[in-house]
Amino acid sequence: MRRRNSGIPSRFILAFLSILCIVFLFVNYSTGFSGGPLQTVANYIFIPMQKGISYIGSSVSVSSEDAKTKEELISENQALQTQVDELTSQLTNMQLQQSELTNLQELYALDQQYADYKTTGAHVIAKGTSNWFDTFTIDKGSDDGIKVDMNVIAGSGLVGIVTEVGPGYSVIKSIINDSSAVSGMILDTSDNCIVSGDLESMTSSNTILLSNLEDTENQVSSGTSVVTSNISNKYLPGILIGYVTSIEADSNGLTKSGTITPVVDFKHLQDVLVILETKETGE
Amino acid sequence: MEIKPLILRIVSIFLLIAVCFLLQTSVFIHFELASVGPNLLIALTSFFGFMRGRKEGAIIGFSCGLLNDLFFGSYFGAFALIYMLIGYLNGFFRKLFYGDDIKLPLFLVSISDVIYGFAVYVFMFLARSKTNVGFYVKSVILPEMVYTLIVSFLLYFIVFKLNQWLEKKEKRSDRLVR
Repeated sequence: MRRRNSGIPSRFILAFLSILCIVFLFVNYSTGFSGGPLQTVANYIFIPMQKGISYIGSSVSVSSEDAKTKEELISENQALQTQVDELTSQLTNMQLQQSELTNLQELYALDQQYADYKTTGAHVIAKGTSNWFDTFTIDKGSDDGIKVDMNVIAGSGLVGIVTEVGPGYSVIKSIINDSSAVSGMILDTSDNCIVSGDLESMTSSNTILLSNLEDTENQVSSGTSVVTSNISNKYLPGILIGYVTSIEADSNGLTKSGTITPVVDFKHLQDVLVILETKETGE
Repeated sequence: MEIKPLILRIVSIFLLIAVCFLLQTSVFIHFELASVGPNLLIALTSFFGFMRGRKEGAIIGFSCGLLNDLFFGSYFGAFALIYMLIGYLNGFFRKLFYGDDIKLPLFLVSISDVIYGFAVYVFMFLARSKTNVGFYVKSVILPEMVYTLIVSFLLYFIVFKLNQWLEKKEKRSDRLVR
């Protein structure tokens, strides 16, 4: 040990590594570099292992499903059967309304604005190491056609956006992440607002923040749906973000702010859909 | 020059970091308490810091932080800097360290985790004018520290035994060379 310490003094190592980190930060800030070749190495070492672990995890959770008793299954089946009946009738209604809508749209010669986006499903295989930020890794990457800035949804709600892509994985920054901001829109009135993630309100009440909303006619109340806006430069329009939980006027008297409960359950996120389309902004 | 034990050391430490990283990202996310997980990489950095000195602490901290940055960092290099400094600072306590005594390691790990928490808060939250320190201490920093402390009990013995084994190998090959 003593002999090794007589090599390079630890002070030099400290200085060298500090400078290296600061250079990384500057390069990252000016060019967006985040690892380059190192990332490829990491991709081949860690991603397969993470996939394996999450596979074992999911098979364990499946086997706990198997342990349900017969009675539970029967009652569950009955409940589901009634739900199926209910939904079938709803579906027929909806189909009628849909056909009516298509007719009317044709009359108005409207393009179908919110076309069905093409998506690909992926599993969440790892979560960010720090408790401060909400990012996670999924098991599909550029080999499956995923690119940076693609939107990610789960169920019917917005989850986040792809920030990094490797051959077999991609990293997603969720909308509840403290540093994310999404340009949103009130569904009923088309008023624009900004939806930003916030660790504090997420931990204490499971909500994210809504701000800069101009609502002169006081039409927004709790329960109103908020979707991604059509003026956002990264998010595709019309994806549901959540429902307004509380709203109050700002001190400037012009805008309002409040909180939104996201539709996606971020605590138990296992599978997500990536929309294979990035927003064209003509830039 | 005995190159063999050095390679053995690098490989085994790398494997240890990899295992901790995988545990933290893929396993402990299913066992979150109060919506925080333990920070194994900080514990590892701190252990090697006071067991092996400033130099190794800094290098291992740097590697752990860089791994974080590669996968999840929004500012590439920031975590590497924080982890590296924590590893270096832990190195100053090497003279006080005796293997059998578990109080110092656990104390240093908790302090390291709190420093890490504050560093992240100051650079990445306070810088964006999120000023409610009390909340962040109560709901992120302290729970994370407690959880890390609990997991550290186990991790400490693994790291300690591994280090002992490596040092034995190094001594043996020293003798061979002479």
